[in-house]
Amino acid sequence: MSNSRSSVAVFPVRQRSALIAVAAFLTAGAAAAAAPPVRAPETRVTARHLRLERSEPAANDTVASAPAAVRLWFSEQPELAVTTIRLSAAAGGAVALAPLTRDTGATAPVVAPLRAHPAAGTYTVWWRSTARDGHVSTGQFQFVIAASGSKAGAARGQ
Amino acid sequence: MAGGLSAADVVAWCARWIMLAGITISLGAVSCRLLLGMAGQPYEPLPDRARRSATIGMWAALALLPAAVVRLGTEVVDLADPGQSFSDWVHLVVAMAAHTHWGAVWIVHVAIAVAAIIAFAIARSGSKRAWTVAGLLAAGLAATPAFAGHAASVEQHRAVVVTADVLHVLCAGTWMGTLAVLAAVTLRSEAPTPKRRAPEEWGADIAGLVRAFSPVAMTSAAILAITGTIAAWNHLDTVSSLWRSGYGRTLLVKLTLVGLVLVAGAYNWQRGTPRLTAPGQDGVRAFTRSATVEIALGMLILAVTAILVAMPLPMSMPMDQ
Repeated sequence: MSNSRSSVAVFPVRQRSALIAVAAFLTAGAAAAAAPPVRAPETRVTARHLRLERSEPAANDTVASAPAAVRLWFSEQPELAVTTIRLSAAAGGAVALAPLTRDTGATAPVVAPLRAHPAAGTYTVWWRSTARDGHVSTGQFQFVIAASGSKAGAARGQ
Repeated sequence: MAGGLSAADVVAWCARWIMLAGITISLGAVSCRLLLGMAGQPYEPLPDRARRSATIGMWAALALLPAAVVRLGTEVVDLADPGQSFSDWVHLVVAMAAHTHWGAVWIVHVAIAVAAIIAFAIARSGSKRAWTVAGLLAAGLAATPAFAGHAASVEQHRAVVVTADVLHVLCAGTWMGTLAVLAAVTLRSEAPTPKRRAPEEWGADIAGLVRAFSPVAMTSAAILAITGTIAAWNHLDTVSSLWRSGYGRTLLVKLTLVGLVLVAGAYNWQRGTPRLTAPGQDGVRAFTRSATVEIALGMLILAVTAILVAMPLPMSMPMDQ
């Protein structure tokens, strides 16, 4: 008896709570649906985790002489302790790199100094890293060190 | 997640699922204990139910430990080179755990889980202080995924997104976790016998608990919707990302399941609860069935969330790039 009485007394409060919950849910849904597209319509969708934004030497670039270091700029701050960079020649053989360094600035690149002075040829930079979210990303790109006597600019124009 | 699904991916997904379920149920155990104290005349003695809640919370916190070990292991496997030496493996584990942001959050998560196991174990004896500590630790556990997930790596409005993420997990616990623990504590009992009280009394007892739980569930659902929208707003830069990206499509699956849970919850509330106190009906059995469906859907949502949190976020780019 007391249960049914308390049930009747509680019902309007429950109904109000339900209405508030449903209204909040619908408002949230409507807000999500009404979110304006930030990008232009002509877009493609790709993955967004830590990614390489640019590098020195740049991907597919031809440089006149061997760089002193490879520098990688990432979209997010990479975790240096578990970042790996490797440099290898297309002809075979890895180029020795010194331990990686990175300045404290948010946009500072990861720097991999070269221990050796590589000869002319095509080189591949391979990297693997993770950001604060722990998602592991990898990538690679190539660049060319021009043969001595040839001009990097001319090579780039070919 | 791009490309084929490896065995390591499946193991990592299971570990994340267990982690999310463990956090949700730990929170649910604390929330259930609070509701048990508010629901008035219990069918069973309150200390028995409170002890069962603490035991469930303890096992849920305990499950977080192997899940954490597996998560660290799969993280290191992703970072390892094929055929690397044992010392390289050790170095990588130490580097990941001790020298990265993800690792720092992982250590805090494990430490809180251990403390929560102890607090729940002490709470089994009925200590109110242990329950308070367990509640704080369960809330701390709920905060850890936000600090080592997508929310932690956003560049704009990070504080807002992380706060929304923490609230999202907290409310998942107070809704689905509480329901799961309440069901385990109250519905698992064997059918009443003549030596015990009448079935109607059992039904009225459960109806009282449901009445106490309903406002909590509704408030949690509303906050879940709002915080989920904040996360979606941040993670999806266009509406079309919802159907053009794997992340968006997985989110749609999760939203569909959430919709089904809302329907199941509404059915329980509108149809199941009145039957609990109706004479001549086996309301408890019917309520148990519908609550089981709701909990199963909740577990499915956690499974989909465990996929979602590891997926790359969609990012729109001009067609000419």
